[in-house]
Amino acid sequence: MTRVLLILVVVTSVAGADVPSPEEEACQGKAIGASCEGGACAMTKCSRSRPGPDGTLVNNEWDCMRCVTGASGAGDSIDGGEPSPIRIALGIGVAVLVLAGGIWLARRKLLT
Amino acid sequence: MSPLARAASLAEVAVGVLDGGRRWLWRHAARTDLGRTCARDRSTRILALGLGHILVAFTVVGLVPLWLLLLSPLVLGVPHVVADVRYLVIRGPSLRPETLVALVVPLAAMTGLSVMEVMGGPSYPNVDVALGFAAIALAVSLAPASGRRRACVLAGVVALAVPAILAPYVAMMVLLHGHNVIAMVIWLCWTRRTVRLAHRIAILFAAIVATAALLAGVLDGIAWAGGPDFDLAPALAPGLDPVMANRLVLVYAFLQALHYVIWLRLIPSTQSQTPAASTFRRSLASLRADFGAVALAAIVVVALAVPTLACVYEPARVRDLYLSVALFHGWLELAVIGYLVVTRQRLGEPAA
Repeated sequence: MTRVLLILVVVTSVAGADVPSPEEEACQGKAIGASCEGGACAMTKCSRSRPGPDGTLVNNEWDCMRCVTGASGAGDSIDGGEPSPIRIALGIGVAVLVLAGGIWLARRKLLT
Repeated sequence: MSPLARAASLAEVAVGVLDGGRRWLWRHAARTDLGRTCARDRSTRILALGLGHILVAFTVVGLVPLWLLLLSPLVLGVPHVVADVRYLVIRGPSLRPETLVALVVPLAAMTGLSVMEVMGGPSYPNVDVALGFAAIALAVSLAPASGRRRACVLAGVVALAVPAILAPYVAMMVLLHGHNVIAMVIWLCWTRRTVRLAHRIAILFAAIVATAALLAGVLDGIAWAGGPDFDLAPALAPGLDPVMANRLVLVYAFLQALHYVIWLRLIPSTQSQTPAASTFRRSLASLRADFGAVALAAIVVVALAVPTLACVYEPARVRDLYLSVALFHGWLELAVIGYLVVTRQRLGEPAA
């Protein structure tokens, strides 16, 4: 029980902190123009709207670097990193699993 | 005792406890007129279920929208994909096995690419979209129907596919938001007619009113007060002004919750062969009959593994990984809709 509570506290504290958005996170430690998942890192304005003291939404803006989708999308592929053998093996493994699931479902449908 | 048998006996105990709670609830509900009507009439029960869940989803969106966006895929994601496969494939239209395998091939390739991408590999958005449309086109082409009808629907698919492949980010954004609505469309148009039309329309109307209220800014003053402090507006509503973008994030959170409700509560209740409300024991037995004991055990393991991994690892990353693996089910829904349109079938019923 204590362990469960501890996990809950850790999760809520991690998620409740000032977590960068996935787009900002994708460019952490990268240079402007570096490729990221689905695009390239670029300096833009980040914004966040939260209720002000009177209850209306107040928008805050600041300079930040984040992954801009499609920014380097000149070709068909957007280089988010090298297609390393591990990534390729993982992708093929998951694809084979989904395909095996489909064949299993087809067999099951045939039997029922 | 084997691990599977031990897990089964543990599940029996859990189901017994849940059914005890359920009996207690129904005993108290049956003291009211509405409760008695719900116990007697499936359509009214589903109406109450739908409206109640819409109210809960709207309230949670108002109180903790980002928690809802973060946690609901982690907790309800796997069960809803299982329900998706169960009602669209196992209990779905009379898909021939070779048709099913054919449409799974592009979906499997898409899932593999998507996992590579989320692990930091290159991204091929137009290939993803092309594979999704290939699955729809295969489902339509291999459907047993007149050549003319197939050709008409196929022409529509190609007409949508060409601009989508040319503008894959726009297509993915449309799919991202549209996916939440597709569940409602499937429930309204292609499930068995066990829920009266007036009740279906009432649930649709409530969902539209709630969505319009969110877009009008009814929750602007109270939403966003708690929860994880990251901004999803650039991902879910790029290019919109901040106030409207935040409202669209709220709409997404609400409709996502609603699509889980539809797959996990409304469609199972609507499609059930027995009009009486099902017990947890009966639901588990039915799930086991559909998937078999081994697959059911695997489903339970995966359904528990996703939230557990999120507890011990980064929740946002686990959510991303889950979404990349589950991407195929959005296209599967569209492929099955294509098949149903061509064959004029309804889920769980033979062709007209």
